[in-house]
Amino acid sequence: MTKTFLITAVVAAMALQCALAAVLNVAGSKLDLMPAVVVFAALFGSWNRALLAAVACGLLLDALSFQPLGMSVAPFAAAAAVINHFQRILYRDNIALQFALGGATSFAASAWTWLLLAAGETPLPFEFRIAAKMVLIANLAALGTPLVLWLLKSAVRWLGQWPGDKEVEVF
Amino acid sequence: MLRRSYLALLGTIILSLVLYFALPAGLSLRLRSLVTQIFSPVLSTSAALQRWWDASRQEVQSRTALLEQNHQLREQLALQMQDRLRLTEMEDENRRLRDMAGFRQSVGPRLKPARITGRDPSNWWKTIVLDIGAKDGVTEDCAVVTTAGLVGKTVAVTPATARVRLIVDPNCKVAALVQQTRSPGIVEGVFEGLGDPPVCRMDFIGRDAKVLAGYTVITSGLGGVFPKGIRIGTLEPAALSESGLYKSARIKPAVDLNRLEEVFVICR
Repeated sequence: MTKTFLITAVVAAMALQCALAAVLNVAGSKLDLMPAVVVFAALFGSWNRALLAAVACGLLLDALSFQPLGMSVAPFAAAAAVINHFQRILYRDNIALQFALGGATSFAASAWTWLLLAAGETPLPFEFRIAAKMVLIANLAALGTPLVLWLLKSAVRWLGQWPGDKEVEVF
Repeated sequence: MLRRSYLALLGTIILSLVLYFALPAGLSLRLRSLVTQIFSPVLSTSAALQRWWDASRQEVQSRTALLEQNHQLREQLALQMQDRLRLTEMEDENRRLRDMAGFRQSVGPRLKPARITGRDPSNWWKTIVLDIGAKDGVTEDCAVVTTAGLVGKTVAVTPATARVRLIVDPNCKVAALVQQTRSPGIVEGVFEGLGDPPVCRMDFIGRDAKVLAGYTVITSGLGGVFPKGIRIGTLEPAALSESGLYKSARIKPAVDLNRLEEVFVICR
């Protein structure tokens, strides 16, 4: 996949997330599609693509959501690095695995937010209701991950960009 | 190769932390405004789609429901007309009293109607995007209201859009007072937990102040951002803070912030 495709995917996913934010609200939690894009780039792309997706997703989410700029980049980058490191030993087309990776990436972002805010003026309280919300957000992101991955894989194949120069099809 | 990868990851994380802790607020605001401006056509389209979806859902209703709604609306209209008559009387009385006391007639605030084109896509912050901006006379720190009460204030303005921080956002603080007892305090947003409705909290209420559940909280006008007398919400039972120095109570906002469609910006 090319860098242009990846950036387009990030922007499209963000636009969809913004549109869904007004409509879809499960017990006060919104659907987060950024973890799915990070998981896609980390599972199916090279190391550079994974890092690019993580930075783009993090910065775009922060800029459009009015949370402090730079807050989401580190957890996305760390998740992308870990997933990309084990890329060759993971059964990437397994829906359960995609679900788990999407959920874990989202939960990492929420946990990092909690950690950074703990040092600021408006700390996120460490309470059961907040932890439960983090779990729900992670589950919603996990639910969206297999679908987003299927859509992006189909788009990559349709555009004839599969596999890329530095990517290898494992299975 | 692996070492270079780790270095790149470390660099990215350090850079993100530098952005988070050291980026000047002005520069951060300009960057956000730029991204919001680029995304505003997408946001407008999604808002239009949402309005179309809501409208098409509302069109399909049963005859019984429509008759019942019609009956309720007629009742409401009768009540509103009575209220209007009473308010006109009070307005006249107020004008006379002001003139008598030699008060200068204040010029009414300039209200700009606006539509909501986007909502915050993140889960912890509460902001909305409006379809009017600097070219319509909107600046930062303008109060945003509906007929029901206070919505929030503008925090980032581009030529065509304005981002509003809602009163339930944990970073929004409003000087307020309890209408019935005139007890002052500060209203701020609360992080929502699982299934929590959007609420705010009023802190720094005097420990001897008599505040009961159901009392109305209004803006006090202190601070200069929010004009005095705008309804914020109703109080829930108050309790002493952990330090025991003051009381605090949760507030149910007067405005249903999840169903906002149109608002007014009070331009200065």
